[in-house]
Amino acid sequence: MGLVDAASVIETLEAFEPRYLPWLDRHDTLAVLKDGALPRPNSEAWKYTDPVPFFDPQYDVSDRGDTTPIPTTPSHTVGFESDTVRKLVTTYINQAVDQRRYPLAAINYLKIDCGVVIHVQPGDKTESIELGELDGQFQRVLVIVEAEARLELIETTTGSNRIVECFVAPGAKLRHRRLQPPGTGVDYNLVAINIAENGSYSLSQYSTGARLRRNDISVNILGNGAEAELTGAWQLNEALHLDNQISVNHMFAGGTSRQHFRGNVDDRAKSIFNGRIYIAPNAQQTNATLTNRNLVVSSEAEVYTKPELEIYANDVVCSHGATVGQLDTDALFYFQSRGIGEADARAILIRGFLNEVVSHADGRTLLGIET
Amino acid sequence: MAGTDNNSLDGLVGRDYAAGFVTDIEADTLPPGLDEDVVRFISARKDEPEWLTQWRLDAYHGWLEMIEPSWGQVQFPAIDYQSISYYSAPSGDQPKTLDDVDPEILATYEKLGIPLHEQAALAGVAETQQRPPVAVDAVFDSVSIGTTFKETLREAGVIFCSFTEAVHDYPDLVRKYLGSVVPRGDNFFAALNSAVFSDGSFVYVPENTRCPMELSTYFRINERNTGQFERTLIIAERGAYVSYLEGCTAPMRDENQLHAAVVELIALDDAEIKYSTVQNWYPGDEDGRGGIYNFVTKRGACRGDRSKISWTQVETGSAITWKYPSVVLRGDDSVGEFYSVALTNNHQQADTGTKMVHLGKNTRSTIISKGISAGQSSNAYRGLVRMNPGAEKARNYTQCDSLLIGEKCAAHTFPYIESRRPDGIVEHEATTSRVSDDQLFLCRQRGIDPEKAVSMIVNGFCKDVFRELPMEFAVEAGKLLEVSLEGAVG
Amino acid sequence: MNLLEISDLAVSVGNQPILRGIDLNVCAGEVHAIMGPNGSGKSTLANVIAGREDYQIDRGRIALEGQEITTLSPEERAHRGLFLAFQYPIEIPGVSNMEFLKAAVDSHARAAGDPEITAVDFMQMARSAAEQLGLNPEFLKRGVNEGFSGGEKKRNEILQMLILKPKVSILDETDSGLDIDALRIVANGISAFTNTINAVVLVTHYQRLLDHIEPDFVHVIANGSIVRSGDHSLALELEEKGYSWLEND
Repeated sequence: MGLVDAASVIETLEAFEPRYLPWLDRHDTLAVLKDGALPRPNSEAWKYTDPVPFFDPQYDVSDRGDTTPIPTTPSHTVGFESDTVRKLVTTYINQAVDQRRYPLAAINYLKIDCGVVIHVQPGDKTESIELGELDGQFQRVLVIVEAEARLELIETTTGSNRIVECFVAPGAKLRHRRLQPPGTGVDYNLVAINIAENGSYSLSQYSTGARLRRNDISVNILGNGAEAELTGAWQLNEALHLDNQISVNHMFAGGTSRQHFRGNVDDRAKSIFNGRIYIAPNAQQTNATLTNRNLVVSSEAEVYTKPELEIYANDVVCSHGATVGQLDTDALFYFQSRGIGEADARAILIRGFLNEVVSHADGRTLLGIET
Repeated sequence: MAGTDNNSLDGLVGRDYAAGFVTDIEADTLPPGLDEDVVRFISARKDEPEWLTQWRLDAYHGWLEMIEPSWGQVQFPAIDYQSISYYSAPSGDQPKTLDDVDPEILATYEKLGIPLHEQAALAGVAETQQRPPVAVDAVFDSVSIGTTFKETLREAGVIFCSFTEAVHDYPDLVRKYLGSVVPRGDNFFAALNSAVFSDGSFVYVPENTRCPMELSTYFRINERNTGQFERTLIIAERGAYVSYLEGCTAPMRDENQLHAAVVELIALDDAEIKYSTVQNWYPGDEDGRGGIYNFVTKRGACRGDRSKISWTQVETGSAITWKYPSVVLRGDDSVGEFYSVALTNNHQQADTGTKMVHLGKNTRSTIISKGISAGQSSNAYRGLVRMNPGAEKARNYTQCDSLLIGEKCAAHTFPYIESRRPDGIVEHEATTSRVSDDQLFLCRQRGIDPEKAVSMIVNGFCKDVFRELPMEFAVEAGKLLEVSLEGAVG
Repeated sequence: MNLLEISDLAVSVGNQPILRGIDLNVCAGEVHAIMGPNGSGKSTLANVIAGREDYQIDRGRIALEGQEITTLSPEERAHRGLFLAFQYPIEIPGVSNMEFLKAAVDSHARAAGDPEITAVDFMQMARSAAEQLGLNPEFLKRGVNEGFSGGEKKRNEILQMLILKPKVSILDETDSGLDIDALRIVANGISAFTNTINAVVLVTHYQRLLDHIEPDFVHVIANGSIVRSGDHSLALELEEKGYSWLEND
């Protein structure tokens, strides 16, 4: 792995003159980066993905898709510039992000060049909002779902440094569907979620890879009865690269989290999954599970997976499981004996494998497993 | 358990460390400090050939350039490597036979229940029962003080002796295999060991030979401020079989002592090595003062086709345990196994697990890890399963369970899975549970007292590992768990 | 004589009163049934008698053979002859039924100052109890309740009762989860166990177990109090009318 030149990264950031949101206080963030938050040699977080291109001061997203206009309704607001959202931005930005752990989110904050605030008023049952590409390199999305409100967010993103921060207030529900079509560049994403008491967040993430694509997800369970359900599926071929790093942090007692991710890895593709369940002292009566299953269908593909548990409370029920395997030869033979050719049989079995976590038609389309 | 606190699980403190006494003998102990002269002194003291002195010096120079690793889920104040004495041996000439050994030392092993008389059976079992004999190599601080049953073993062609003897009597074997599994620059602690290792055990089992008895090394740290750096090398030739047991204790002292051993196992075609450890180094007191830092590199190489290496460990001692007995599965159809029980109590810390590196075709590995954390201790499983491109149809199964006792302990799991095989299968499962109030209440309602109940539940949790231990050790391990959990319930 | 004597027992959890002054006398040779709707407090009563520590005893006393037991630990109560068959028997993975039973039997012997039973005698006793309940002796080698069906768990509770030979057995919903055949086997096991020096308290929601084991007394708990006591006919009346008429009284 390459070595991030911390001095030059910081020098460039210090010289950077923000034109967008110049009023944001950038001082503390810079201090965090100076204080050793940038990846060091042998950094665990960058064990299987070269961090250098992500931290390149010339970081450029060359393959971003067409930007789409964002729908406006009374319950949410576009752009960060308006005075009405300035207060929301200063209240919420970085509240769900641990900048020390996610230095690329810190860089995003320093160099932010476009953004969206989606603010759902208390009790509002907004049906759904679609969020496509934004016209910028360092994109920031704030999603604030107030008490007892509901929102379905359908997001498509291909390439950029995009940070999505979600705040799920007491009793609120956020359903988040995320589609990541293939890219050719270097693509960083962080979804950071704070869930309050009895709040519920569910993510369905359907991904392909990019030249280098990194998906960080950080969930903070902050109240009794808070729930997070994360499911995801990826389909990688050619030389695509996908690195998923997920941390579900149970900071409060009585929370529930379920994670289920599945990937199919073909050709020379590289799939990395690191799922962590963290249970803080006193986060008793937590129930947390994590499953990651991978299919490797080519001799040149690489799969790295690490389901982690870090537990500091005893009255908890936690489990995780991970598998790396291939299609069941008995099942293949069964199909063939019924006259289904091997290629078709493989396709059907792969589809079946991914289908268990892909519950939306657009996800099936993206992953090429529609029936 | 709500209500009366005196029966609460949280009261889990206090243990009785029976092996914590000091033997009062004269010892030749090198003053603290490490430099080239110390390395040369140790080598000269052992009358080593020039190549080995050079090997040590190369390791020492490599070590100087290395940085102490910090990735473990363990915390301890920086070790001052210049405050440790790197050599300590009972005074006088090296004893030729067990009859020459200082009676105080023999009494020590007696007290620990380690039989240094060839007619005796292993400790921890009723004397009335007839047990198969076990050959013992006893290592006291830096040197081996004697090995039993040498003659019986020699008749079978098996070599079992101290490392120092092996260097003199079987230099070709030592030179061929030393550092071939754990290179001297492998990691910080292995490099340190390679520079200053003092003694240890050497085992060679010739072709198509089944070692006629269990072999065992018993390590004992006695001197203050010394580190123990032993080296074990076990070679099983084609078709050979050997089962080897290792036990360890140390006196109770307020300061921490470093134990940085290296164990290398080599299994050729169709050979099998079974290596069992019952580690009961002094764990420190209930406030976390003192105890052994157990930073050990253990690795086996399944070089031959159809070879098998099996590690079984029961880790209840040490202030900090930081080790990963591993298997490199190079031979086709070779098998690696790791069965582990790690129990931490009070302020103990453990970061332990294994690495299974699959290189050959149809290689298989199994990992069963049971971690028990009590008191304010921290217990981490860390493992690596790697399927390299040549490991056609390789398989791994991992089961990794944690049991939590009390509200202040911590349990972690860090399993790394790396696969580059389209036909490999890796399965990993982990669970976390606690000794539940309901389980305890059921036992108590049937008249079983809470301490017995907890120890029964914990033993049940560990059953899959205990059944892999040789019988004598399984009994001892069960008792050790019971002692280590003493005070677990009020 | 009175084996079990409960007087004015009031129990709460947190600040929530569950039992509001229970009186119950159980004499040797008697079978009592405690019935009541869900949430009436009958399981609480069973657990409190056995010494479960999740409950606060606000007042009253529980005596076994004339000796107050309220301050004793669960194992001390067990040693004195109190047995609770659990409604939901818990699993203890890896600990075999045999090992568990032997530990229980030994602890009873130690508490009584009796010599420990030999392994051979114990095996014989355990096997014959298993046979009596229609359980394969292999069952004894399995982990305590580990992977047992609901019916097996309940039979295992009765097995433990047959082996420990308690003076007072409280059977908490032992009939639930049993099919007709299993119910008959379990009921026969209980009937065969009852004699003139012990007593059985059946805690149950339904009366179907009472078709097999005729109770001498039936008590109905509602809202934490015994609202009605009578003979077997009371149970039949409940079966017919349900519980709601009691609360309307």
